Amino acid sequence: MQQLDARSAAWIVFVVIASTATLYLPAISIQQAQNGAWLSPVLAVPFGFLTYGLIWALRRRHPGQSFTAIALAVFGPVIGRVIVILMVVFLWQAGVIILRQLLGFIKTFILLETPILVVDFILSLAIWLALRYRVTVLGKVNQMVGFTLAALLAVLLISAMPDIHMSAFTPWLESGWKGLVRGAIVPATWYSQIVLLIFVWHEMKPDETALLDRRIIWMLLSTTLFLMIVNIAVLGVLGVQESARSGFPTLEIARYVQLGAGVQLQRLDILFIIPWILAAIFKIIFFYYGACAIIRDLLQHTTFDAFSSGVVFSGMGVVLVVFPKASITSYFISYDWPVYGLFFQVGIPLLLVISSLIRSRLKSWLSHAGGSS
Amino acid sequence: MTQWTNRRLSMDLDKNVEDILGQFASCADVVLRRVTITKARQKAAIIFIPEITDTTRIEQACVRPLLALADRRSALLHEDLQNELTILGMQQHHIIDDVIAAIAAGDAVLLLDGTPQATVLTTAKWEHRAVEKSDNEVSLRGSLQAFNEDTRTNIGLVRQFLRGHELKIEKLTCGRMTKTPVHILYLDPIAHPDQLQTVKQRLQQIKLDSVLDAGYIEQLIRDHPRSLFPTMGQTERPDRVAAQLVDGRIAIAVDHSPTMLTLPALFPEFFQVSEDYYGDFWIQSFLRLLRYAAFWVSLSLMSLYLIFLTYNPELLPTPLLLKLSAARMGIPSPTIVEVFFMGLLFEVLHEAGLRLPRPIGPAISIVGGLVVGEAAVTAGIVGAATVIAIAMAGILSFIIPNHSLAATLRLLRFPLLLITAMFGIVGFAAALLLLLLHMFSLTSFGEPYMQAAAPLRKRLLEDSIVRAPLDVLFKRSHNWGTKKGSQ
Repeated sequence: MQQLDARSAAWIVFVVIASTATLYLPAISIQQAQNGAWLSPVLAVPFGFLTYGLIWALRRRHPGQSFTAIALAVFGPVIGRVIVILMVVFLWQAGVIILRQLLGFIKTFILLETPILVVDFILSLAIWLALRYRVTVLGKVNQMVGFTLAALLAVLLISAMPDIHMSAFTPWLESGWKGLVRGAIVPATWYSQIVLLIFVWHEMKPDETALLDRRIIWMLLSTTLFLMIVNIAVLGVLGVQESARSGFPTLEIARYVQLGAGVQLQRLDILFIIPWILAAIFKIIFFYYGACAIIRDLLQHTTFDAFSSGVVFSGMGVVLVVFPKASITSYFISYDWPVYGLFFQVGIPLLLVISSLIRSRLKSWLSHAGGSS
Repeated sequence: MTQWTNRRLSMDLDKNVEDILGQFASCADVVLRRVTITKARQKAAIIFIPEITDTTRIEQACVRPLLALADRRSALLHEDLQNELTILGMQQHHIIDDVIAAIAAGDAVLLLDGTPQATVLTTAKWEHRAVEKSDNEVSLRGSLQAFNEDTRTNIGLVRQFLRGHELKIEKLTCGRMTKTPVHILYLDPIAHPDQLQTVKQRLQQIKLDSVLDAGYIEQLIRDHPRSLFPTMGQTERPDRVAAQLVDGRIAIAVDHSPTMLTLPALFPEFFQVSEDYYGDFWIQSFLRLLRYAAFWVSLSLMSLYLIFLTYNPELLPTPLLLKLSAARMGIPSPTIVEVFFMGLLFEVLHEAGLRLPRPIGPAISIVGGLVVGEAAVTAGIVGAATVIAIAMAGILSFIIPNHSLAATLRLLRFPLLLITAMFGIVGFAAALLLLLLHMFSLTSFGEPYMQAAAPLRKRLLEDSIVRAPLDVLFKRSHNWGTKKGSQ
């Protein structure tokens, strides 16, 4: 049976962080950090390392166990179940929010006249059908999509270089360190979405787990560098005001980029739209995959075909009722999401690690005390 | 219908002849030749079917030597035939079924009175074409030989390329009625034993009455038989089979089929031709890249054309958009109808060109393509740009060297077009995603079909998307999908 390789797992990290970050992050960060926003990924990446460190510790302490099994073992059957059910709700909700963002993007830029429900349906249908494939297959296609997106964006950024105005970066850090930190909060939640790796952990090739650590570290650093360059390009080409005002500044650059003197490549955005949509779909798939994996483990099924339709199509129904306008999600992501997201993405793994440590210490102390008595 | 007996031969010649001919009742082509040999006037009988037998060989290497034994005092036994007959291939059988099968396969059977055995003389002579040039896998360099319908000739052609003892050939029979000989070819130290075992198992499990071509075998033993994508290679070129065997693959030769099957066959192999390895690696790499690009462009061109004209005209550069809009002025049907039916028309012309006799086929393609297309544009029924897009999509599909994959590509364009018509670029992206997931989920005899594409590894790319220099290729210590590869 095929298993997930370290390279594919590392590309999951890239797609989960960069798919939406390249599209939405510059505007969000620039609103807070002004012309210092290009440094936001640097301040945010420690959250990625912290989250990976936590799931790495869990993997070391509970080798070969799923998230559900770890939670039940650490917190016991009652609290453990509550925790994993809350996690299911969080993952499902995160998937729904990303779906709403994607719908907003498509409705605003691509399918202006198509009813949003139709777009919602086709995306949900694709996600549901994709979830029928094993994570190994998802990981490989995700790698292709991620690589294509990265390569195309690299071309875009190189093409945008002649239009970068260095004056956009002066005076340096105009919003000060506080603004810089505020601008790093939202990307921090994106980085901590690396927690999704915990749900594919037991599908990994056992001989590649050591290799995985190195690949993840490189991928986190590469993604950070990549996001910095995206932010530099956006700031340099559009300036602070225009970047903060535009919903999708990276797309704006793609539209008006010039290649050489007098050679204008019109509408270069067409090159990016399809990989961007695919990458965002993959991000939703991995969130839903996490939710389905927990339910599967709770119900002790071997596959999750029986309930993936419930997870996906309930999201399809809820998304337009709870978030009738895309602007609601933007507000939610900028102000409410960081605390909420960080609690589940960093807080729960942290709680698991601490509780696991305490339990094992207590156990060892009790056995020691029992032995000596 | 023939009733197989499973009975053993008796000592009585007349009874044996009666039993055998009884099975061939109403078979006017079966011939019985009786002779009396030795001084003891021992009776003998030869049964054969002249239409599929080399009768000259029977006469010269069997009947004449037998008649020359007139002075022999003792009765002739089957064990003596090795020294008396000049024919090369001889086998003794005791079961009537085996004897009947040998006669049906073109061999002659010699029965001697007083012996419960039969000697099968290898005299089969089937009609077949001479070795000719390959029509379907045209090559500018390298060997021009192609397989014909005779398996022995085909295996011989492969042996000409692989002259070592490492080439192993195992024989099986498939088809309850046709008893079609199927040969498995592999190189002993290289082919993966698990794959070899799987092939044999799957061939033995075939429960068809007839196996008339390698295509029957392909459909029954491949992984994912319901998938549109081919997961077994087909070739009519011996040099390609030899190259595949050296690379650790297994080949299957089916009697009366001018095509050999190779396995496992992964996606990149369907873009490769023998010539790739005979020329300069820069040029061949460029040609390979061209084929990959042609595949994806041909698959998506009709859908993208629809997206640009119907859903997202703003994605096109303004001068191009103006030209396309002007070309579509006055066209009565919606773009989707126009594209769909022009696409279908192209397929009809393509199929007509293939099925018609050779001298007429190309004429139909030219008349259809040029005259009908031009007339339709002039009449204002379809736009010139649509004709260009459809023709481009069609022509690009012809670059794909493998016919099965090219057919898959041509078929896939239509559902992709319909989904795009309904959901625009989002539907196109979603369909592309599901297509990729399907392709990545496929395997060919256990090997991931898309293993060269992901996870991305340099050494796997050396002979997939591009073709690395031969010294680099042969330096590598691996062959993916083979025992060597797993080392």
